[in-house]
Amino acid sequence: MAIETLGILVGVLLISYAARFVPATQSRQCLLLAASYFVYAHWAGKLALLVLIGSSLLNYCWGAVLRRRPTAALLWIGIGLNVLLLGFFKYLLPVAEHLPPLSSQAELLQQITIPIGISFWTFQGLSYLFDLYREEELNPTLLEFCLYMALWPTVLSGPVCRLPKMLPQFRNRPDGSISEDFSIGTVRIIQGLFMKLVLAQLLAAGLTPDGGVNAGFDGVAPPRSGLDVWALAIGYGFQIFFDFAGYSNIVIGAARLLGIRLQENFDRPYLSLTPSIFWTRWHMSLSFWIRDYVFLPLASVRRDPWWPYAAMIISMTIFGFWHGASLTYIAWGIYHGLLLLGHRLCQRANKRLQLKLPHPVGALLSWANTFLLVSLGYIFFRANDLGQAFRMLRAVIEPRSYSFDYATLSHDYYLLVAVMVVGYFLYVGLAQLLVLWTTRYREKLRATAPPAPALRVATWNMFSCAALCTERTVLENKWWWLTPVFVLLLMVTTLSVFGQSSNIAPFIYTLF
Amino acid sequence: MACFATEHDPMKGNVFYEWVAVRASMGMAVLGFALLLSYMALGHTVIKGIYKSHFSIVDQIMEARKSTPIESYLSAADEGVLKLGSRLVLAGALAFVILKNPLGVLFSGASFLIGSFAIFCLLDMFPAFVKPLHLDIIPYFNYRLTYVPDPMLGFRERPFNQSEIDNFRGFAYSPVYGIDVQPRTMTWQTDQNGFRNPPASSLADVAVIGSSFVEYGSDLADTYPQRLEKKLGGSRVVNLGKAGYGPLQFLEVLKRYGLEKRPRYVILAFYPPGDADLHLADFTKGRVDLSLAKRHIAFGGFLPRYRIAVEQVWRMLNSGWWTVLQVGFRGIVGRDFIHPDVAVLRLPNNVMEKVIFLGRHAEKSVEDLLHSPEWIALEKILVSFKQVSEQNRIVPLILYIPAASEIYAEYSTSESGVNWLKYRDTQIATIKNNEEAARQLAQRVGIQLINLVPAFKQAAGQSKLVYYRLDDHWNSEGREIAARVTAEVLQTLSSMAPKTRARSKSNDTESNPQLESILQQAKADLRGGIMLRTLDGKINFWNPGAEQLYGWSQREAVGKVSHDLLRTQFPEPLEKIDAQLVKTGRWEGTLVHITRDGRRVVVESQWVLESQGQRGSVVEINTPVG
Repeated sequence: MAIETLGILVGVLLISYAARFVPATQSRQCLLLAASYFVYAHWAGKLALLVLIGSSLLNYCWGAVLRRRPTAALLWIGIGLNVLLLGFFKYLLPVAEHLPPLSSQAELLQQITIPIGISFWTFQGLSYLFDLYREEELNPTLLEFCLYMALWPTVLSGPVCRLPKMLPQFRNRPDGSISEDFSIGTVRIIQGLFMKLVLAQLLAAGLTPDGGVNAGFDGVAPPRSGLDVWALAIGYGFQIFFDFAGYSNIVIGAARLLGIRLQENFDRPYLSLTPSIFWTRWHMSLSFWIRDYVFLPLASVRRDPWWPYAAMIISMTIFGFWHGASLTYIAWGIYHGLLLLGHRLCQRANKRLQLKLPHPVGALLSWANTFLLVSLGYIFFRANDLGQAFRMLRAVIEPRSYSFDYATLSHDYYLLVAVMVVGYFLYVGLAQLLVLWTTRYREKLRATAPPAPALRVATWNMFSCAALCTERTVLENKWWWLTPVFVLLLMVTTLSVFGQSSNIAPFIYTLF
Repeated sequence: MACFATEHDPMKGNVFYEWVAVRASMGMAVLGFALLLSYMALGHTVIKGIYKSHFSIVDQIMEARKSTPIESYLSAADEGVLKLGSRLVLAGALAFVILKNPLGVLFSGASFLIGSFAIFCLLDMFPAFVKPLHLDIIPYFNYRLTYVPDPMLGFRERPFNQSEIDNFRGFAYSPVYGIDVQPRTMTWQTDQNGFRNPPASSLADVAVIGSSFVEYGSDLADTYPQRLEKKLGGSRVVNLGKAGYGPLQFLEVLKRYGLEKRPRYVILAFYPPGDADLHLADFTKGRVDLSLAKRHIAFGGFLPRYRIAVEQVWRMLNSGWWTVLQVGFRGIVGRDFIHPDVAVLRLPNNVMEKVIFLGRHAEKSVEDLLHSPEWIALEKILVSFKQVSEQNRIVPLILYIPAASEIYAEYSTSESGVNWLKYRDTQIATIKNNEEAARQLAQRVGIQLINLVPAFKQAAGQSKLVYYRLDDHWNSEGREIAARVTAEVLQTLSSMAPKTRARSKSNDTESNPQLESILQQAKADLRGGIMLRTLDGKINFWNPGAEQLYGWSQREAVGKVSHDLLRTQFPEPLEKIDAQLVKTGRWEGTLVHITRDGRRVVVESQWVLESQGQRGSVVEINTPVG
């Protein structure tokens, strides 16, 4: 991130924050829209802004047509128009780059760049058409619809919003408490910045110049050892999680500051016990989109018992293809489709066999299985081509490649991944413990009568009283010690950003 | 805390005052916020309107309206409003929190101190994390990573230190100035003494001693000493410059590292704004000079170091966020401003340049300069410098490096920023004094002076910049010109000098064990085969030795996979060998190869991995056994 972009974002955040206090609905929306277009033009360029406006107008007009006559044919035309736009910028342009620059058209094509975030807001437009086809009551004004497509926190890389949830928030002044929105918003922004700009960067670049995920995948020698491949897969899994979940945190926090509540995008996905639970916790906004608008309609097309499975694989393939025109993404989608299919079949077999493991063991096995298989899937996602992916997967299968002699990754990398993984699960555990402690404390407080007069306290009671007192100080004034933690995180993050200055590694999800 | 005050406090008056104070602090923050927003919306339009209007009252406010461009007013207003607005917001918010909950703020402050101390201790224990977290932008951490303490010099750089700085734009770069500078990558490596030379540099004909001017360059070949070596053709030049050293250290460097190189010439690079006006001025005023200060910063006691780290982090965050705010603010209100420090130059042929004069020359007369304590100290140092040199039969020379202002001040126009305009006239009036003082001093001490001013002025006359725009150091162009001028002087000197010295070239070669071993190696290479191949074995280069050894010609071999072509038998699995090669960079062992005519040859094989970007290439040297 260039320093200049950072500064402009701070300024725009101030302006949009002021919009919270504008009483007139339309002026508030105008202010937000102007800020959004300013940010988008700064980030993606004026041409891309024109595409965004064009797409907004197109979807709005087509929506008006569809509202009058919600027929399948009209819906298909709407979908076709959107897919055409997306296909042109996202899938045709990369192909055109590979063409030899013979004709003048090829040269012209090369000058056009992908409008950043096109896959995200095109899907928002599509969901509007789908909702209208289902005859949901949606009557946005043009201003509201444009704002929905371009709202600046979400315009670059999601989360993919849905109009029914956004519309009331655009129309009414934010009703949440200002101080609560402020504290939650800032905390999430800081958390996100730290995840994205420190943790993800650390994993990508490594402690030593050739000790990171990037060096592992793009380095001089493709890893041939099974251990290396596992470490890379898990390391990249955490890198992309920190990167994208961190980004989502920033976006959701920024929107919260403005008084807008967005859909969550990640919910501790690496704690999932099964692949299908994983997909309700990873990139939730998009996976629910695919479920609602691709999988469910597709699954209801045929009545054969095998058809839902096929629909699942098709949906996951589309999910993969959405990330870009590359075989590796498609392979990743198919891999996850097969994973889901395998899980379903196992479930059915299990029902018939009545296999029961004692609870903690079964859960642990199930979790480990899911975590490792999901991590392995990232090999497809990150590999530079399919050949590399398969070579790496072969190393995982071959038992003899697990010898330590074959390992080429540096010890620093193993250390880094271990620290990150253990640290993350420790953090999740601690956070959970704190929540648990707070609720138990609340219950205890409710159960006990107001504290007894001090004179009647017996000596044995003194201790529990002191404990309660400490508990109360710690829990009722969390900000006394949580604020400094977040301020310190913010300081480390800003220093890291200043240190990299205009040199932040390309943000993985803006490329989609 | 707040509940104590409001519910049970009988002193109603206090509650009232608190209520007023809380409202006042909130009002302050809101006022600051409103100020910023309204200026973003209207500021520049209003100022431009006033600037162009004809009211007489305006002439009193904007006195110098006729001679000052609008950009200067805009820039001053931007900065003023932003400063006032952000300070109001911060102060208001802070007062609000403190009034609302003083105990909590106290507790938070204490936890904050504990937390920061914990981070400091962790980084002290695990310095490996400093660089990946990019904390080396804080000088304290940077010094600790790169320096070792030294009793005489203050600090030295670590021997064989290697680093790479991406996106380097100059030491004073800031987007605030609105001057675009292309980022460069700087690669850095030091020799056994911590100076920037190829590793294991031994004897040299010329030693260059100085400060950052001598040391810097995008890579090794870009430095002044290496450029000089290239110009001299055949003579070796050693770089003994170190950023942060001053004249006090120069003498020690000569004694400790210069003499052992047995040079014929030693050049002392003298840059008055740094060496005299900073280093020696600190020294003569009894302050700790820069070089010793660096030692105090990096290697002091634990608590002082913590204090310094906190202080530097605070300063970095402060200036960094201020830059972010300023740049972002200007991105929104408009870019039609000129930073007050910027000097706009009009070079011949109407070439316009924007620069910042960071190092300005001292504005004193020649007599004042020569009688100032700094220059008197310098004279003493130069006298002993000459003495030490001549005792060791070395010819001392002084390289006079002018400040950028001495070359370019004359070209600055009145469109420049107001801060520079304040200095401009006195700077131009004293433009020749430092040069003249240095000339007289060198004459008095009896050391020949290499003066760069004429050559630099000539380059400026051709509309070239010989300094970085946002950095007081000379750029590649400047280093190149300096190397040319120096080489000319050295060549005339050596053509005049009688060949009295016992040392001659051929003697050197014989006594140098390193060269010896290289020659040996080269002879051995004639017998062995050398190939350059990819990690997978695809051959890219095949030398005549290999042709002779294996019977395959270069044309046949290139493009084939070497392990298949030679049917190599490995002592251990190839995967294992490759793994070691990638991990350590080299592999050695005995291989069996089959030649074109089916003969079996046993070779001692050496593999060295050279990574170039993302692809690696392997140099494989095979020497037949027996």
